[in-house]
Amino acid sequence: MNSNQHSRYVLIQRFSLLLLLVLLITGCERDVEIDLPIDQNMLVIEGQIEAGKAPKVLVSRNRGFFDTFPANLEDFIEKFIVQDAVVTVNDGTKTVNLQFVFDPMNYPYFYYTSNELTGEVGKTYKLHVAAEGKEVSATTIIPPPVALDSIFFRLNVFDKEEDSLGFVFARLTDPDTLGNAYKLYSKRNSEKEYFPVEAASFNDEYINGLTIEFFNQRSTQPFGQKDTFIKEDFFYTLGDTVYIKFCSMGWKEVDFFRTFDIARNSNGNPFAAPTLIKSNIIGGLGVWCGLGASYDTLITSK
Amino acid sequence: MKTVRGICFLVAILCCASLTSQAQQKFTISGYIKDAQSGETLPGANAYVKETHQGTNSNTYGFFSLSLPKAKYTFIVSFLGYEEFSQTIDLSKDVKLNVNLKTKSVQSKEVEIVGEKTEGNINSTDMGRLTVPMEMVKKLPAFFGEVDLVKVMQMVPGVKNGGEGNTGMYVRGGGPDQNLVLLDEAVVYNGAHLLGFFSVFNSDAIKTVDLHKGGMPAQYGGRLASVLDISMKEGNDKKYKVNGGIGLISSRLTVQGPIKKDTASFIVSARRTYIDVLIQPFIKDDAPTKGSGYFFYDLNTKVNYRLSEKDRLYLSAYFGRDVFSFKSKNSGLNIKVPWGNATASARWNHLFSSKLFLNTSLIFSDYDFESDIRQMVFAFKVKSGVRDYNAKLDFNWYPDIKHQVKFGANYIFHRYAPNNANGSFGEQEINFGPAVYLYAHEAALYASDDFDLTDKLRFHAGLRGSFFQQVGPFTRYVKDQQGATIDTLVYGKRQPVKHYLNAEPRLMMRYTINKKSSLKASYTQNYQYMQITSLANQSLPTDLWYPATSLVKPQFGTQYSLGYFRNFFDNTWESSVETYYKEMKNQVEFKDGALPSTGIGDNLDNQLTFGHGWSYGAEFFLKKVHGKTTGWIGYSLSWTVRNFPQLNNGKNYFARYDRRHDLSLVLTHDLNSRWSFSAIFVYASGSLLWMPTSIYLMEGQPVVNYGARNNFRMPPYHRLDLSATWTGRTDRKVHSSWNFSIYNVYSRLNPYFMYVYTEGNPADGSFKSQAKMVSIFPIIPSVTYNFSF
Repeated sequence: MNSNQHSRYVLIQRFSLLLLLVLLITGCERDVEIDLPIDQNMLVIEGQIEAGKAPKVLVSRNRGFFDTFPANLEDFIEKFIVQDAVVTVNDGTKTVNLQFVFDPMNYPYFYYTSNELTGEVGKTYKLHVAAEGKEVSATTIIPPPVALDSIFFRLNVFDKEEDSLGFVFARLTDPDTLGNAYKLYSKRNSEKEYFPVEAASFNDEYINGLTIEFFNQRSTQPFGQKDTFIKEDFFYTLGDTVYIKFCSMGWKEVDFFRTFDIARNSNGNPFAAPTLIKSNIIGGLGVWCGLGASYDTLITSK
Repeated sequence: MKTVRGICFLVAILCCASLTSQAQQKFTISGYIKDAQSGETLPGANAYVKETHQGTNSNTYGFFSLSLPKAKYTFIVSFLGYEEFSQTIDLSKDVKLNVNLKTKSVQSKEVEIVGEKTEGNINSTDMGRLTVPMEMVKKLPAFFGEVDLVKVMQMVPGVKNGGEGNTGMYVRGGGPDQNLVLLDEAVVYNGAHLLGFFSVFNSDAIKTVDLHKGGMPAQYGGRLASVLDISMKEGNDKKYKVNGGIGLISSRLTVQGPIKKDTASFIVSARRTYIDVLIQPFIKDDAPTKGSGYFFYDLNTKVNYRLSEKDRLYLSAYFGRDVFSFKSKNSGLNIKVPWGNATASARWNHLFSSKLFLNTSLIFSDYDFESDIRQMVFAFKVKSGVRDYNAKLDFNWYPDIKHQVKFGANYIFHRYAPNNANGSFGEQEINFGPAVYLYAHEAALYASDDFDLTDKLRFHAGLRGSFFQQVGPFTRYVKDQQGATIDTLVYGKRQPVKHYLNAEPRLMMRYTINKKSSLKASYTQNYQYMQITSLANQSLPTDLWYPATSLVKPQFGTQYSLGYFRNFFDNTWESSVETYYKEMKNQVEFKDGALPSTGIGDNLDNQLTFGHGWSYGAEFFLKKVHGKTTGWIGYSLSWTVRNFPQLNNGKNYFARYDRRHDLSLVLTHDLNSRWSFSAIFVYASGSLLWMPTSIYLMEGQPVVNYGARNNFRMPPYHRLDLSATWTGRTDRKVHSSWNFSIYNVYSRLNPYFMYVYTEGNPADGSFKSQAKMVSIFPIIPSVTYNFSF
């Protein structure tokens, strides 16, 4: 269990008490229309630069909470995606202009990139984005990758009748110096994208220098999330080929992902405290993240 | 320096008090005031002499003492609901007089809220104080058949509730953890059952309730906002009595009687809810949540023994538990959550002389919360709580009729268990670190004097010196800006970690304008050395008490208030206007984005951030205390603001329970000796919520962005309750009464809370955002049958 998983259980504990209301009292819940104060428009950055790869920066906008959500792709692009931003990345020696591309085969599909720049471990990258009269900036470092000791599969042992579904466990030995942070991405079988696993972003505050094991559920492909819980989507199945991408990143970057995880989880939970997502973007929302990645493959077996 | 000044001030008061008492030869009338039928002592009764109109009130134990020059006096004792006692006394030597007051006969009986037809409210220095007799509480509309004294307190201007059905009190801009709730002097750390819908105080076991929301007298301390001082009944020392009540969701039973007639008595009172038992047969065996349930129970017990004319012993205890269990076959979730309070007090009253009264108390108080969650491969258990060992000495000294001096000392040893978790994953134990306890000593010395400076000017001057020290074993993890540990300090057992020493002056003043009206002012300072730290919007039993540490400075409150009091129509109507300004320093909140942590390599207070707050407002109160129709209207207009440098970009924001308007109307009408009717109406501005202001996409998922803190006000809350009480004939062996109540008569769907959520997938057009409002209680009729024999 990592600290993020612990937090989830503390939240379940709080939530469970409030089930009382639902269970015992003739509660009445109804849809209402309310007016919320409106935020100013902000630029949202979803940017990353991985060692050995070109930077990818998605620039989008936030929208009013109750604004009608675009129903078709054209509308979606128009409302959310910023296509005419001036995006530059400085690696300490040169500043590169990133170009907007539409790449329907690779997430995030609409992004700014450049072949003139490849991520290098240890280097600092400064991002600057100007669009629609707003400017935002951020800095990130690519930390050295930390490889997992091993990955292995275990059946969901608590369900005695379970003979095919389970978790993929990862064993990690955290390096001696404090300041490491990690995020685990995965895909399985024929899935295209390495995508983040929930509750698998954590830093080494509590585990510095230790060897830990943590469990991982399956990741969801982009835009593949469902509102209902389906057991088969949650667990890995015996015989799956699992691809793991284990990334090192800075603490500020992992703080973003941890708080983002919690915010996602508290959607629809009326008892959750408002989660403020900790962004490393100055003047905007989102994250600019350097990644040092190591890769593993596992065919699940008992 | 402050402390030195304080001590000088204190000495001055005491000298002043003793000097004036030297002047003339005086004799003392002293004794206990009791109920003639049950033998219960009566605190707060008026004892005075008619000739000079000078007098006193009986103390918590019913004791009074009056020292007067040698003369002939008409000595009078009066108390609400009782016939006046009058006796001519030729005072040429000290007189011991125990007064047994008879309850007024049924025909003439009316429930009066405070005092006799005297100018009590005009004459005292008390500001923002209210005493409500339980008899009145019992006539008011009951919620699910349960009458609740805390809910009556919430009808007083300046006291707000925490939302629908909630027994949390928010007094003059303070949080629910800023109220000192005492049950027979023992601190009750969590005064609520069922997430706040019921208070833990069983009305059958309670004798009196006293609320101080304004100037807090010096004998109380440790909280900023208010004191709710509750005394349990002592038990009838004349004959055995059984009384009880049967309600829709719970029943109560009380047995009391003499152990030795007129010398010793006992009382045992129990209450339990039985919704869990009642609904069990209606749940199918294969229902997905079979085995889930909830109940709570309370047990109050008290024994008292009069050892001699000068010594009395009281032993009292309270034990209550809430137990909630939830089972869900579908998700494999299995949850069991018990929580509750336990208190015990042993008290010994001793009379050194007819002028000096001492009470010595030894008190134990404990609040525990546990939760046990199992799901699939996980088992997760959390324990938290607080435990106190408390010793107190309280002296009441009556040097002469112009002075009432109180002084004493208090020592408490606290043990806090903020959040001790353990868990397992399959066969594997998960290490959450060793159980963490925090220990602290708290001590206080106080002295106060109630005295008349002139005929028109009366003072309560008091000083409280308080001391708090956190001691080991303790491990301090010192963090840098990023949250990384840069140093670890380990303290051994009993090793001091951090201490605080403070002086808390309390000054209250009354100026009599005329017989009908007076002007009062007060200035008080309070320190508070512990607080509830809460992550969520609602207050829950999971909320943790956390002491002052080297990081968490003691909360410091200063309150200024000014009031005008006036009575009308031969004191049948009382009215007051009080204004106040209150400043609260060292307030505590979690940092933005703080997450519950494991406690390994961290202290909870590393996640806290500090700021200050202030609150101001005006309270209007109009009360009819005599006649067949009694009751009050209270209205308060108030503002409560917070400023935390690290929250909300350092900008001021209104506290969550900032309510601009709050109106309460309470009415009781006695039609005849059989029927009485009552009504309650409340209106309050909605409380504030922190809502999202925009939405954006990240990793293909929508997430929300929050704007300024507490940026949304819920719709106002209002409700009307009605009740009728039918009392059976009193000449029968079994006395019975029926209470018919309707809660929320016009079934207003009040907001309990509101929230917003998003659902659907942004990619397929099914995505939408929605706001929801949750209301809990529609119209709820209830019936309670009460009996006694």
